[in-house]
Amino acid sequence: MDLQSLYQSMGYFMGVPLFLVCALVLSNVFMVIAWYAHLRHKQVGIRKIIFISWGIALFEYIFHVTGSRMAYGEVTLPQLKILQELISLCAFVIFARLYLKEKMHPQQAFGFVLVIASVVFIYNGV
Amino acid sequence: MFGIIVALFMIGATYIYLMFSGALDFDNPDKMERSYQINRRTQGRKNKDILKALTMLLLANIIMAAAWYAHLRFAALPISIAILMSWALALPEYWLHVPANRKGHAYLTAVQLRVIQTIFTVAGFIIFTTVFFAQNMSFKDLISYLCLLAGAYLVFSPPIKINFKFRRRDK
Repeated sequence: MDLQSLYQSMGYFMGVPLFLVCALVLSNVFMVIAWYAHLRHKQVGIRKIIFISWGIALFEYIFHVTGSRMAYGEVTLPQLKILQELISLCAFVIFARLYLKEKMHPQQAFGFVLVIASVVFIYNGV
Repeated sequence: MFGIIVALFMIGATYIYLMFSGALDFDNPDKMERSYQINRRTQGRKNKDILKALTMLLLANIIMAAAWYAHLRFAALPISIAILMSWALALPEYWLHVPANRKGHAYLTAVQLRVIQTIFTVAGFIIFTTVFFAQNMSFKDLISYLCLLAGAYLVFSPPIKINFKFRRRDK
């Protein structure tokens, strides 16, 4: 399947290309594992952790580079960055709940409202 | 240029926040009493470690911005080569990022580290795109970055407690 036609067929939501969203979601799953999975394995040596994390990061970069390459042009750099931050925030919160067993609280919902507002603002203007 | 100033302001604000929260402390140790001087020495070491961790985090984030977005300037490159180049850039990033988080985690909480990471990732991105893509930051970008940082702070911080009880007059 051609990437360009896949990009076209997935369409948009609130001005955000859904192909980009999917690619960033996949990439952030790997990124959050590469960054924080080692927090529960403090006894492992730091060099080993760096190389294992880097190995996991290959999959992160496959999705991230493909997504941003397809979208760049109609999406500007700050738009790419802010969408990436929203998705990495979601990934981190879910990861902290599932893997690090941290508690969630209602204040986080307000934070997410602000972050989503910033994404909608930078993609669509006021 | 505007972007660089904003990024430096964000980084400076992080340092000032850490000084107010007591993690960093630069009082003059010579003025202290003798019994406090041992404490001052450990504080000096703590300052050094935190500053080192922060510098490493900042460098890691600038390299990360390069790994994520530098390939966009070379549109003719095939995707596979772009992926491998970005992945190669990620190695120095991880080399700085993982030890910085470990070093910082000895003195700072995970929440503080994560908020600092978010601020630095935005600042590093602004610095990198201003230098490498020669892009000027618009006012619209600035507003959405600030909105993003405020939201990220609310997500990561423990619940902020506001006291809604007002003193009532006795009847």
